[in-house]
Amino acid sequence: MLLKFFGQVAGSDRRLRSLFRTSDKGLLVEDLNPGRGHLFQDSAGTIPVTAAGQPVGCVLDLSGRGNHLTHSISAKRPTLGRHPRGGVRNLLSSSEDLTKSGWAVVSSVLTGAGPDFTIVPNAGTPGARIQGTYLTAGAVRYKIGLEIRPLGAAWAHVGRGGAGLWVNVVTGETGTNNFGTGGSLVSATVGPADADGWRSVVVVFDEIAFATPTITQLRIYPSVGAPSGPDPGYAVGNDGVAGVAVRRPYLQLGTAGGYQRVTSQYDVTEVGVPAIWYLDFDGVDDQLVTPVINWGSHEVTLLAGVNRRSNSNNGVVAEFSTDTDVNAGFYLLAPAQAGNTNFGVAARVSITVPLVGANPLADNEPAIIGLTANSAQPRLAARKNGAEVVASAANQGAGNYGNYPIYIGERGGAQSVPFNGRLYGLLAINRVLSQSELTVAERWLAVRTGVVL
Amino acid sequence: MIRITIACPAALIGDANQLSLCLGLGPDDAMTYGAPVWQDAGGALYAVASAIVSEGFIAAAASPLVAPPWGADLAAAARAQAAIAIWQDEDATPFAAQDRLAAVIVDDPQAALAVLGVAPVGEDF
Repeated sequence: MLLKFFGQVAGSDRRLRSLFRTSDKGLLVEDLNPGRGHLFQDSAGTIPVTAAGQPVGCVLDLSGRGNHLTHSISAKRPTLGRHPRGGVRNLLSSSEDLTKSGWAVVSSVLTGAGPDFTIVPNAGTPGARIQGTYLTAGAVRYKIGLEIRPLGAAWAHVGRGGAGLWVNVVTGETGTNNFGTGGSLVSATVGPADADGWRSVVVVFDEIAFATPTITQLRIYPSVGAPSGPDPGYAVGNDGVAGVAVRRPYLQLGTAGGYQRVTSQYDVTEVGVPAIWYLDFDGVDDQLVTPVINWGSHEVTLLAGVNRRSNSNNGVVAEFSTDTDVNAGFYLLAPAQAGNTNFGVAARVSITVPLVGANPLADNEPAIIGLTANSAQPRLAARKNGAEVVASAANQGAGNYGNYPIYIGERGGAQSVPFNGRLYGLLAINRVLSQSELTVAERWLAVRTGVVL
Repeated sequence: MIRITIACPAALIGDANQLSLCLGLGPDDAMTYGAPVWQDAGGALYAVASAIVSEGFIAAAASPLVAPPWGADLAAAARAQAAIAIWQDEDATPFAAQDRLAAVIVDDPQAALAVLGVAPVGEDF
């Protein structure tokens, strides 16, 4: 039962907890690493979340106020995710299980349990290959990397779509390439063989221009003999027995960095790089809700670490009340309007004051966004990455902000305006924090979000 | 685990929620399909749910229904079960329609929405 968690919760950042004075009300969500014990799959708080990819039905409020976030409907629970600090580069859907969705085997037999897999082309099938899909952005520089070793086949064609480079996986030499039909080859590096015959292969190429983002594939075509031409169709001698082994493939935008392990879209890790944990809201129906909070104040500070995936629909990051356009309350939206590259804030006692323009926020831009508001002054300010970006002195009406739950990820009531993106942490408190307190809170959120302020 | 995204026509919401009770984890799953706040190109309204479920969910959804401990209207659930249609690559899009519970099994819920051909009913801010 959640009752056992009421009161101060151990494990949260002490400086953050200290922002919540005895009489303050609000909510603190941080440190989403499941090992901390703050997350549960069910709303009753009985089944711990243990790994990325699991649904999250309960997030403990670390402010000590007992305003735990829950959702009792299974389908509406967000998903726990993690990625390396600095973000996800590997565009493949899975890098250590090539049998998963997103990978396909063409005229070949794929065996293995991961991370090592063996590809044996069927006899007499020069188009035999394994391929992993990704969405190409067009005319930009990409890097492919993988480890490969011969199992009877001496050559492999490595590239994107049908364009690539022949590599002799026995000697490490490179052969001809046909990138001219799909971008251009920039560089190719084949490492020395280790004791088991594994070599690293890194191919950098410039993609051709596509009018729109296009699904294509990283492809690996084995060839038993020396290929007779630059295209993968020139594979020679495939006999249904010989092949190559591959492991740890990646395909990324740009050339910086190396392999990232992609277990699923929600679980990407990188050796030596700290993991950043987040709640993934699907942009369809995911939502978490606090109990009703009697705000008891005409002030608020609301801050969140987010990364919006898409602006195709407006999305509620957090809203106090079911609809700030008709009830007292406040909201933080990303975006504020479908199709806009912005975020929006509003506050209302009896008159809604929105600030939905002039707050730039791009898709896939991790950021600390939020608001401060004081209906008595009156004042409302939108904040981004440690600074005010716009403010208003418009009248919000007189009084406090009301007596409601805080809805995260989707508007309450009609259950609409779903947020499509990641939430790394959130702080809501019923007073306007001082500048020094804002600095503490926003720097903490920046660490949790992987943003440098 | 797989992600399934389902567009439920407004007229089927009641039956679909009874099916959710049978397949779900608790009594509140009777509210899986909320207000019909999504629409297709023709303006027809849907409730949409998207969730990560176990690999066995599809088989369970097609199996004879059993009343859960928290109870369910099995006749209504069976009507919803009979209306399930799972999108296959060769199926035409948009896949959402007024006579079926249109289900799309892809990792990306936004890609599923595109296959279903539904978008949120606009809200002004």
